[in-house]
Amino acid sequence: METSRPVIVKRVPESLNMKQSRAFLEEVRPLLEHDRPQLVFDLSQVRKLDAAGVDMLVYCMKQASRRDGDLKLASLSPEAQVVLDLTRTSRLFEIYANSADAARSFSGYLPNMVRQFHPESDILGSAGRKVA
Amino acid sequence: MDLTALNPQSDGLVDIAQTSSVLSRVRALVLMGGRPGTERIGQYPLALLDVLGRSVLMRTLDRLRTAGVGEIALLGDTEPMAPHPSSISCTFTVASRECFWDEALQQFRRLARESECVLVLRLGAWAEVDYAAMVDDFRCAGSGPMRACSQQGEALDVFVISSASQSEAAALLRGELRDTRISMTEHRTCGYVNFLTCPADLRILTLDAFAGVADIRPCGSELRPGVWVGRGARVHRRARILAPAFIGAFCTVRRAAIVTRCSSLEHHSEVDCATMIENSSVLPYSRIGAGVELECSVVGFRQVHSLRRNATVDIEDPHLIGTTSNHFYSHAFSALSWLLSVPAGAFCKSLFDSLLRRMNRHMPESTLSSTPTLAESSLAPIEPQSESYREMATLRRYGNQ
Repeated sequence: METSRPVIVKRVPESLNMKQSRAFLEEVRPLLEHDRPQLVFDLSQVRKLDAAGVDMLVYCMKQASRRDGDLKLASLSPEAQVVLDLTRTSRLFEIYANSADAARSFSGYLPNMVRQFHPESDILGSAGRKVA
Repeated sequence: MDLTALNPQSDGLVDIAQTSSVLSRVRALVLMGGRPGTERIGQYPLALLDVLGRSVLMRTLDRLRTAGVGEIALLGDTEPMAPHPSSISCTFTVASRECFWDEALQQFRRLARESECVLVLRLGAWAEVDYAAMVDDFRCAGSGPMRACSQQGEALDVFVISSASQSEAAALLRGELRDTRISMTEHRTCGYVNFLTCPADLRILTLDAFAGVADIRPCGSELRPGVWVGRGARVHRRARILAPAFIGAFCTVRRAAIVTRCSSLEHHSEVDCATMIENSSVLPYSRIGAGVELECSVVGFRQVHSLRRNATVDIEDPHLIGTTSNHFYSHAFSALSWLLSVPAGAFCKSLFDSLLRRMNRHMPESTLSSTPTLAESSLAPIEPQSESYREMATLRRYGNQ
């Protein structure tokens, strides 16, 4: 089962300070206003990230969650990783090694759940045999 | 040299007077820098940064002084932070990177004039070399320079050169202590060695000092077992310091901050509210912002060296990592800003009070009048039940004080 909604991967600029965070937020605001937005931010090029940049990322995630969507981070540069660790925000986001994994994760949840409760699946079938 | 052999009745204690006589005709040349390398944080060599309240440089000079070395000359390419090495009676010279080794040779020649041999040390590594034993080995070996090695056989930048061996000294110093053509005898030391090549080594040295592996004692008073606090440090009563930890001189730890797991805050550093410092070293004059979580890191000079991520990151945002200042003007500016904030605060309070009064005026009478019960209770004087109540009140007052 695949979701029909697109996953949008957005590359975050090299520097994410107060001014550039605002500019980036204006860029992504239309994407956040979709119904159930599925966003991936690629942070591989980030070299400078400050508190305003982190605040912007949290704001974007909050907006996406409010519309029943999600924001995931991918390919974090060491600089971004350290700053997210410092600000205790790394635990708020789902972080993936690359954008492809992050995009795939949006469609990976539902089928697994369905498979677990399928009557002909291996798990239930084997359990049934054991009981018999 | 076995120091206990000097005095068989000493039960293993070092006879300082006798050690001093062993090294009284020995001079020491301590070199700091001179090579472009990674052993720096910001512009400062790692040897200049404090480890539990005192820098590796100062601790090395202390060791030389304790060993009884007659005269110590220090040559560096960076001006050290306070306390200045000249405070422990050694000559200090700053030389530029270009003429560093020529200046080192001149210093060697000066020291060699009135001595038997010269100890040449380059920081650097923190090496707990027994200098008296090394000089004794050198005397037994006869001629040629001697180099110290760690227990694993790694070469250290600690040499003993005879005052007569001017040409070998020149070759060694002009070759930036790397010339392998000179034949040298080895002195294997069994003391602790840390090469201090990267910030991770500085952290390891701190951990080893806490564990008692390295011969480094925290500079401060041990307020609780495993918690050392330097003079002038201020720790908020709501902050938590979990042993082992070190709070350096004139540090400030604000409300709800946590310092734990062998963390060290060096002098004049500041930890803001609700910040957690775990298994980290905070270098002098660093300020850690509010609500930050610092784990397995070395922080200083607006840089974070994350040991877990193996990354060094420059932080420009002062809300996260900043610097404090010991400068007079910065203190004057903060005092002035506080003074200016007092009238502003008073103005806001008077405005708020007048607004509250105006709101109360428009409130219905019923809300302003108190209930009869409350009125009675407020009118009735509260009298102590007995004499013991008064005593308790007095005790409570003194307890608070």
